[in-house]
Amino acid sequence: MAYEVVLNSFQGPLDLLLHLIEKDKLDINDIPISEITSQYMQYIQKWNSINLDVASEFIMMAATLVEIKSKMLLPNQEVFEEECITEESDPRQELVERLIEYKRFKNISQFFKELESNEGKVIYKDPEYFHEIAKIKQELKIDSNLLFKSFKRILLRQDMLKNQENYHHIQSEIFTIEEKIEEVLKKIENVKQIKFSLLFHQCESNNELITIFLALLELIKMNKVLIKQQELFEDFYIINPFKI
Amino acid sequence: MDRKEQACIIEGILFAAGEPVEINSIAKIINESPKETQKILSEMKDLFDFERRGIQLKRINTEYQLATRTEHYEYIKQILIPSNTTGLSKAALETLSIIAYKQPITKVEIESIRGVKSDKSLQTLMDKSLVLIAGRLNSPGKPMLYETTKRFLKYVGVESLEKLPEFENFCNEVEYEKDHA
Repeated sequence: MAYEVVLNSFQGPLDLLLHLIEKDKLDINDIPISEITSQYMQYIQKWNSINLDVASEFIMMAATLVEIKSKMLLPNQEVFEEECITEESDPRQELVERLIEYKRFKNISQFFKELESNEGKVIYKDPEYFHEIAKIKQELKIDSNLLFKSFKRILLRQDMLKNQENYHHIQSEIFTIEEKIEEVLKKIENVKQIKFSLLFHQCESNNELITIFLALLELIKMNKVLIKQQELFEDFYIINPFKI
Repeated sequence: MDRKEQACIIEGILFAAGEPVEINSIAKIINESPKETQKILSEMKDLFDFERRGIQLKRINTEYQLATRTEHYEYIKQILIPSNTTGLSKAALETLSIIAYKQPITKVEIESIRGVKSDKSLQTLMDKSLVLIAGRLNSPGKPMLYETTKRFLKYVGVESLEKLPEFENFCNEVEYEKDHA
């Protein structure tokens, strides 16, 4: 079996199943579940063996296929009596419906793709702005998202996003818990206790704030500090256990 | 002013505006009812097509806009500044298709149809303003509901959601066999 079709080109387990069904021209209304399951499993195993990260949805589908297969093998009381598999009792039914629905949307996607390509060839003009003409102030419904998108469009047009010289990177500061543990310990070294809020006094970023908090939790866990709170939701105190 | 004059004015308005103009705004300017304005615009659209004008009159919902024709793209593009627009990915297209035909719909429902997670494609579609969050479903967890935008209609060149081909049109041969088995 040729595995030229790479994992990435399948949009998901349903896509893979459709591929298997269409490739062998199987009848979707009477899927040979055993055959399909084994082919499916071969794909999964092959991808695993070349160390491709197989998404969990593929594994789940494998389990589903095996479940359906086992249900088909088990003697069903109703089936014995009917001597045929009715639609309601067919364990493949749900899967088949899902496959059909998915295939429809695949077709629609293809249709949209053609429309998209067609519409890409239609040109519109941007609005003109005349400062001489007094404009009636309108209530603009702007949200930061729209603003950002507009700005990005402008930048793209000027090709500025590609030109790295125009802006520099702001380095995010790296705070380590170890550093902050030292800092906190130093802060309570010579005092009996210190207010929780004071620990964050000089904080300049969320990063720093979170690291200090984590450091505090670590210290509490190590029993290097104690905490005390007078009232619910009030500021609380970090206590130096050696100064009690 | 007579009909011809009104049509001329509308053409000027749409040219200067560039972006889509609401039919009600046009109606106010030419001092006509929206219904009559609609008629004039329809006639204009037909005339432009009949006369094989290089400019077409496009309608998106209740807005009108002037645009070039797809047939001439190969010529026009030679004068344009190239922009980097690649089409949507397969995943995004699938997600968009589902939302277009099943809106309003939640992320979980989308994922159940596709059989895979759809966070990335949803984000892409929102970034491109093709879908938006239209509210929340009144059920546990209050999940967000997604719908397509006006931009989407423009993106696929369809006047309105009603003008999208019927869902049934997209069924495939296998389904026909099923019904006639």
